[in-house]
Amino acid sequence: MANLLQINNLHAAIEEKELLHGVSLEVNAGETHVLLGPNGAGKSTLGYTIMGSPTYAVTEGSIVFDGEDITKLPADKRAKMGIFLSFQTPVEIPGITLSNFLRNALEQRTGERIKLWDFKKKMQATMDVLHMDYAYADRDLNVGFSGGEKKKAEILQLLMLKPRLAILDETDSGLDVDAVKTVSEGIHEFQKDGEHSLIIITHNTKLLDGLRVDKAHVLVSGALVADGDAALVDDINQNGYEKYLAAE
Amino acid sequence: MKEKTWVQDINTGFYDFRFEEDESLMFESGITPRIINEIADEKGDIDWMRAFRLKSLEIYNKTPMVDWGPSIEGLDMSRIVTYIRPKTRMRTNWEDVPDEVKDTFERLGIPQAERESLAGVGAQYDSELVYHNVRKEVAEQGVVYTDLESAMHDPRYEYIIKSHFMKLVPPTDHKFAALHGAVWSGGSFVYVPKGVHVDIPLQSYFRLNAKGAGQFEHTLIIVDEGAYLHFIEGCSAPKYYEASLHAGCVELYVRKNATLRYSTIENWSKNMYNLNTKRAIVEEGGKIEWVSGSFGSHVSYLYPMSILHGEGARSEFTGITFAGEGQDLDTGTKVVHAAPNTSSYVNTRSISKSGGVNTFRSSVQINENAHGSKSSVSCESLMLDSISRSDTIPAMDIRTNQADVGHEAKIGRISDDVVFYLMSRGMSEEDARALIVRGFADNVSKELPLEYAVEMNNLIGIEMKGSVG
Amino acid sequence: MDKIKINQLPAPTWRHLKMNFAEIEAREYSHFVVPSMDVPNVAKAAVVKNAFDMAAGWGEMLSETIRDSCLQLAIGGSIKEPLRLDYGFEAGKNAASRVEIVAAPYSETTVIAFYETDGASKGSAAVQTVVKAGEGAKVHLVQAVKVGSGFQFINDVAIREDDRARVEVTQLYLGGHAVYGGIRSDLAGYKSDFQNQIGYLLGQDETLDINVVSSHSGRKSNCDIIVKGVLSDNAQKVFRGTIDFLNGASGATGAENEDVLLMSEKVVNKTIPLILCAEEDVEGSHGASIGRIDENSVFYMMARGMSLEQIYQLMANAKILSVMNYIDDQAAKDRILQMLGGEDYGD
Repeated sequence: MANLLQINNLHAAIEEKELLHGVSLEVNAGETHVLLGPNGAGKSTLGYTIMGSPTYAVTEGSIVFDGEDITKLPADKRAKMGIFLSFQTPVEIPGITLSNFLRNALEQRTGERIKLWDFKKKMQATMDVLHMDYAYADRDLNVGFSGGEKKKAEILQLLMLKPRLAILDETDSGLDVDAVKTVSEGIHEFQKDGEHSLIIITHNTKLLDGLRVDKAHVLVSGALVADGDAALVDDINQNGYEKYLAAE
Repeated sequence: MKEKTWVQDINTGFYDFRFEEDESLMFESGITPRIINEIADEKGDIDWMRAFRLKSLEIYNKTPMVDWGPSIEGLDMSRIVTYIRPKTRMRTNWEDVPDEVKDTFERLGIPQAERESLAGVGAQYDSELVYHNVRKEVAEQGVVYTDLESAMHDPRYEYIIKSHFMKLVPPTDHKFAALHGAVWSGGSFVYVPKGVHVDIPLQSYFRLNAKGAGQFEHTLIIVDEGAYLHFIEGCSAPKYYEASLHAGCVELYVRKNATLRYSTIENWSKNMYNLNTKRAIVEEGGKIEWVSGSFGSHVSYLYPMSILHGEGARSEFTGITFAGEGQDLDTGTKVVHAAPNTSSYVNTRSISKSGGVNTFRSSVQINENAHGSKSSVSCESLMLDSISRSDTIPAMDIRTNQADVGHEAKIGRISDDVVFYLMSRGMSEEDARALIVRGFADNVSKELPLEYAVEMNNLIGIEMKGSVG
Repeated sequence: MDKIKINQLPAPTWRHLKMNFAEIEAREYSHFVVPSMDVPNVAKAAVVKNAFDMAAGWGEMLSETIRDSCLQLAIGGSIKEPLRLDYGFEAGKNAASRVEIVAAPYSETTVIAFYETDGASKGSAAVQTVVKAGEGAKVHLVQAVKVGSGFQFINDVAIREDDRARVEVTQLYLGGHAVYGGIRSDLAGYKSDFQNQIGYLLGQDETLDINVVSSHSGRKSNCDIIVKGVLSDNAQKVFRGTIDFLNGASGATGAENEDVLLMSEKVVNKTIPLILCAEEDVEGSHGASIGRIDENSVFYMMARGMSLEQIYQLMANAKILSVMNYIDDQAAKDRILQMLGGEDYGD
């Protein structure tokens, strides 16, 4: 399989405090990786750094996407290349509807104007997958959305934008069982054609039920301490992180 | 109309103050050059200071009275002349000190001798000794901590004082700055050399009270590059003066990468008109931290100002004002961002009770060149009854898009539910309300050295006595 | 020419800030104009002579000059179709107009007014809209303003509300080189409610000076003042917003918020949000956020592929669109979109 994302010895810091101490990771096209780890391990930092958040400074190492070094690229360029990050706390934008925003983003992603009617149809079909009320399309982006609705809106964008690599940052946190199931179905929809890559950041593995997992990694205190396949997820599920914490 | 600034080398450009005369009433103050000359004679002023005083008097007589803010009609300006004549100063007898002030000393547990000192009656008490000890300790670090009048006569400091005195607050600033320039007396001079970190807070109150100065005192502090100082002004016991005007002036120079923390718990007696001017200029990478508690005085106009003059300069202002019966306290702060990447942070609380009037007044200016600057202002007001008043007047003037300015304010009352909760745990209503008010004031109390925080809490306790009908 | 002070701050502050009032040349507003109207039959419109008897946001000095004639709209019952008023000002004249909306108890209506001139016409206009809302009456006043560069436009809304009345004022200031807007709302009635949204979009050398005063004397009266704006080029704006809780207004609440996006290094933004309070049992708050788009929002949108420039454009549009959301009438919205420069706005 073609190599899509390659992270080499990545160090990242926030205001001189180093949070990632040399992380290396490879994701091939079509693969689904799960990134596990206790709270504060640096999982979100890794996700945000791949997306190019200015909050985190890369002090050493590189990020290569599709053969191109993107370490210094701004977030919008990375998005255009096909990287997507679902946010834990998506921002609220009064005055811009979800539908308007998504149409705008889609045109950025594809570089083409899209007809309003075609867009609407596609959007409604996608909303069906996520059991979303069509009314949300005309509501201002994330304004007054509940936690679950915000997460669904993120997955809606994921399915519409069809990025090559999606990083899902704790997309399951704060959701009830039914909502986790719906979100999981949405991710399955994205995963099933085998062309799209995923990095799923989580510290709870219910979301992964019904999803194909190719590789799993454990991040503790800013460093990868274990790599494996789906079996690693089961292991963590049963035994927690204790042995990795003790090994520190 | 612009007033010509007569002080030759002053640069007022960075905060852009202009004098605009309007139809406000001009009046004859009764202060004559002869009186000013008497003061200068008594103090043995050097010629330049004598000239400065006389020039300030001219400006004073030309400058109109403020036409906004609390009324100062009760201030009998024609009597000012009697306050400032050297021979009439400090003739107070302990017997003349009002009972209310004596009671407060009692409640604060201050010994008799100290009480008389605080009331400006006595002269050399224990505090003088403490002051000398502090001086010795900091002098070993090369710090100059002395009274301004004698420093001016010291050839080592004369030039520094001449080149800084009333340069930040020129007499043209406002009427009471001009008055101050003409009649100032006493005050502190502090110089902290480069890189020196003064570990103990310097406290002006030891000296000010001992000498009975304080009504027109001038504080001049220079914290040189990379140095640190915490200066504490005043004390939480009420200072009583027969004369009812306080027009002091504080000028603070914070050099490159230096930090100055300036704390005040002001509790002037409740006949006082407090028209104090405080200003700091902060150079590159430096920081000014104001901690300000206003409890006393009848009328206050008090807005410590920070001029962020060097790149990356910062200011913090933490304040509380408690206005009780008969008090009209107009307090707040001003910040001018005059350089890139400067930041300011303002956090204030005000409490109004028993007919007291509180006004929070502020201005944040971000100049065109202040790219990358940030300002955050938060003020909260608490109304304890419906005969009091609380106004919030915050102005923002932003002249660059490369800035982030945030402001929030809230006004409200003590929640009945919280009082009920505390009462259900056995607390009296009065204690419950006092507890809540102390919690409300903790933005300031947690910034103060412990003994001051304790005294401030006592003060709140005193103010809250009888707060429940 | 003599100057008069308008839009005065109810409690003045330092003079050097130049925020206490706006100063304009005194003119004689002798040219009385009546807007073209589309008024449903149920409402009665008549030109009457009566003196202005309320406090105005722009202040007394200007009210004095246009006190005589007035177009009175009497509202009884509930009117679904909005009353539409249309002003097109002529060049070179000093036009004055006063419209009084008298809403009978429990009546309901929406009044939509447009104020426009063609291009750079010289002249000036002083327009006052008075809303007298009887018990339980609901009035929604929508105003959209766009005047030419040589034109001075002064707009005032004076409101008085009885018990349980609700008046909503939605204003869009979309251009003009000397535009002044005053609002004064007297919430005298128990549970009276004042909702105010103001959106502005200023560029070039345009200036806007706003003074909103919500005066609460009624128990449990409430106001919400929401202001959103965008300044670019050399635009200058002053916003004064005052919530005044008078003694006796127990249980009153009020909130005001201004959110300003600055798009150029040469803009001047002045904001002064006051709360005056003489009553213990009230809750008031104000907030202001001025400057750039916050970092989180910028990163979120960049992560969706938008460039910084596109993000600023989008957010500027969003400010105006979010104020337009308070307007229920599609025809009015469409016309405002046209004033903004086309149907694509916001896409």
